[in-house]
Amino acid sequence: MLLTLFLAVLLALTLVGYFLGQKRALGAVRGDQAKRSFTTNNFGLAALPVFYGQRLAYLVFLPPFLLLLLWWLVEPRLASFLIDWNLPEAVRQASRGEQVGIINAIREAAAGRAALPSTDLKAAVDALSALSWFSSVGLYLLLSGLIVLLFALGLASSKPGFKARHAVETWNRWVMFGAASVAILITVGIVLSLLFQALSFFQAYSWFDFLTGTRWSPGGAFQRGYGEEATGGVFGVVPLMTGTLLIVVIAMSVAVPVGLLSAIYLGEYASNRVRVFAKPLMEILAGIPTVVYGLFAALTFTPWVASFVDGLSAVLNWPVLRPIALFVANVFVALGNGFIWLGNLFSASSPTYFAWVETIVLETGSDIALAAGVVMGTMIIPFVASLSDDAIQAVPNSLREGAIGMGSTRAEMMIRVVLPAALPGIAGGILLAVSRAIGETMIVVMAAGSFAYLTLNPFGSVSTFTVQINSLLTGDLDFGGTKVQAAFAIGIFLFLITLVLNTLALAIVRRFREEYD
Amino acid sequence: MVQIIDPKYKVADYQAQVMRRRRAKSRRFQAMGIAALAAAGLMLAALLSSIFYNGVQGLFEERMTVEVTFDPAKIDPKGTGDLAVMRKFNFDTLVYPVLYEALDIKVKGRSDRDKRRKVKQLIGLGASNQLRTMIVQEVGRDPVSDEPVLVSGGTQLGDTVTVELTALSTASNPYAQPLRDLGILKTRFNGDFFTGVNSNDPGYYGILDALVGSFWTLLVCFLASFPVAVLAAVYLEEFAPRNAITDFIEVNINNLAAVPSIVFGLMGAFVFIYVFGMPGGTALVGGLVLSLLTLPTIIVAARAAIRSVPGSFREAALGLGASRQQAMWSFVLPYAMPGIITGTIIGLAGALGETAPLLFIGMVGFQSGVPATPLEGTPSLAVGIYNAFGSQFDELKNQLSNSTIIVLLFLLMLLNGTAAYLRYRSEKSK
Repeated sequence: MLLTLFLAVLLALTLVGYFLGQKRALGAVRGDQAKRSFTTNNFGLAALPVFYGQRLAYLVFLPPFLLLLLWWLVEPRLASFLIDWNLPEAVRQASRGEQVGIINAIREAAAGRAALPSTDLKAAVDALSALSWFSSVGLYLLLSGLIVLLFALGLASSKPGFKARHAVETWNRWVMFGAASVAILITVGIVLSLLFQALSFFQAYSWFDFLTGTRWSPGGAFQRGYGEEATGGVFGVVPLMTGTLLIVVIAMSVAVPVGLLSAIYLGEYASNRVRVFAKPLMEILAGIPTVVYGLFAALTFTPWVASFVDGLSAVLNWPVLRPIALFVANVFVALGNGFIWLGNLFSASSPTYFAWVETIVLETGSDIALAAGVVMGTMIIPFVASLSDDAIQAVPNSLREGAIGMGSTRAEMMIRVVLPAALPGIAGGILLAVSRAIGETMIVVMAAGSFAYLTLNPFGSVSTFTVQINSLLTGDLDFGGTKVQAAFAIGIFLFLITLVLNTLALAIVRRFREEYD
Repeated sequence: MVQIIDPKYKVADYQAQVMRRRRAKSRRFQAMGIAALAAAGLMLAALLSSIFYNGVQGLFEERMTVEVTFDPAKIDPKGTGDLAVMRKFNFDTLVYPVLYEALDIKVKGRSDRDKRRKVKQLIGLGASNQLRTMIVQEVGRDPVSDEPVLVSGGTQLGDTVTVELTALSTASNPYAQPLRDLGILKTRFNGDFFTGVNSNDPGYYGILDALVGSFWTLLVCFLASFPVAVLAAVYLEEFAPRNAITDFIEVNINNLAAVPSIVFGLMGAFVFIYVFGMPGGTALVGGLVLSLLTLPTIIVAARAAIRSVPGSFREAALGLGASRQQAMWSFVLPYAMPGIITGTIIGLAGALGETAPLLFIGMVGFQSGVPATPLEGTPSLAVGIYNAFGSQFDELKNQLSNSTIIVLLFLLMLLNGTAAYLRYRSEKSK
């Protein structure tokens, strides 16, 4: 309530300052006509009157507003800190559940909604009520004083010789610099918040087991409760890595050929009439939200793939193909066993071995990695197409003309001359697309599995980093719990992977551009 | 390279043959390009037809028109007249006998038990509540005893009333068709979809709260990102000195544009909700998180727009004695504004479809009611699609989710169309 009033008064005073500053500057010269000179300006001021107004408005508005914002951001932290500081030793020894209850009681008592729970909590309650008095009354008194001071200062200095435009432009530059620095602030915020939570996670869970563990099982909802969480889950990211890898590989094997070939066709072959249809096609594909792709993948495309896989099963069981299929399947089983064995070198989790395949039955469940991957690939097609198009267009025409002049066909020119020249740009684009596929969330949340099987079977169900972040964070946000912290640990993993891929891709693209520009 | 030429061919024949082969290869390459485009087009066609096929079905719903008798012997067997007693009654049981009778199913006995179970599944989740409010309504709570204050709903016990109830899973239930033939199940336009709020019962499900929530979220997102992005773009394009800090800012902006949205969600949940203690699940926090995503987009678009302003504009202003900032605010920026707004609209369109980061900050739509301010918990349209997908009922999961997508795609078309129109108009005027 007081906040709204204060903000209204602040805005009104700013407006008053804007007009008063102009008036004051003009008044100062009108009273003294002798000071008018031809060289300064019509009024004998060092700047247009409007700048005097702007400067006073800045002076009145910005410092109190920034202080208020700062206080608003700091206050909740300060409150928890004050409670922590004043907690009696006995409470500090208590379990987390009890502590939360006591802290809530203190907050209630300080707000006057409940009686003092016990006398040894008096210090905390007093500190908290002092803080809330300050942030509801004291702060505004202080800021009001500051405003009056600034107003007086500003009016006093609004003299004709004062270079108001310089002052305003300096303020402007700082505000603009502040706006530009928001980008740094956001990055710092991301890194700090991820690090903070991830570090608490790695205090409870070994980073070595996290990186090399072959079992991911964060524990069901029934395990959520204070104290039990630390022992509740097993967090090994290897199955998530293989799952993400599988889906990304499927997605890229759809997106790269389709995107690249469409870009080549649209750039080099297509008539204008085709282009009129094809350009919007790509733009629509790029503009559809991922949640829409996700719904399509889960409800429509997965059943299609399932029936396709059933058909494939039948084909593989034809007498001619059967022995070949069995051989290939068992090679995969052997590889899979070897993979698990390798995993066990680093981790103590119990070994699971696949049995040899005797009949060819391609099983599918409700989630199929192939379906999620193909739909994700479709989503990335326009991304790959536009980046490859940029790379292909950047190849100088002299190379094309040279190739055609030597008598090559159009396809030979593309395959042997233009594509090799554009390859670094295309590779950079593909890296960017991979990074996007790794970070993509909604398609896999809706169409890939939630259980992290360690498999590379495209017809099977796998889980990815993003799916697990989603399932760990949905529901109650208990930032002290291991499960939420585990989500941040994956988050920092994801952030680093995409950061490296992007930096690499941008470096490749930039170097390639320099070659021809 | 030595070519071994079959003597029975003349050289010209051989060359013609090679050329044929090379041209065929070229044609094949071209055909692959067409095939790639066709594959992309086919996927899009599959996607859109799936959305519209299911989504249009969601715009129509079946309702059950039945004549219900409020039998006092069932609702209030002891004849107490106590509203609290009547309130506990399961009003669905009034509908069962009506349906059994229409379908010729025995009311008691083992033989028809499965049939009865199937028929019961047809009745919508909200039907019981709808019937209850006709008899007894809760108007508030007693401030002293915290007991609900009950009033009569207007209908007397013993009355027979024709009511329209919601129906569930009519597509898969074997008794739906007989009821349709009897005129009990009727299809009508699903008006609730546009005027209702999210609900477990597909019959009552609506997207008004999600629409308003999306509006608030985008408004906050715009207010938070647009001024900052424009100021940052102006600074970086015109005033920033070439030094390490500026370079670092540029690197950061480029990286932020490529950070996965889920990471912004993690950061938003931690910073805004945990550290700053903002109310989770509100359009305020949602808009702020989305503004982190749109910020780089708008900065890049605004810089391009400012860069494309002819240098003569700036020079003319400077020549007339304006300072660099005066030239910027009064001449360059207004001229670049259509381009900046186009970029902003495209950024906001992206934010409208964004889902994952909003899930983490609690915009899951468990609240019901249309949010009047950005400070109330609300779902957004995209989150609404995800929530509907999670439903156990076929109508909500398959159809109403796709209907919501149709609305979302329509809004996206509107936004992108506006952007395209603005771009076209500003290009024409130049």
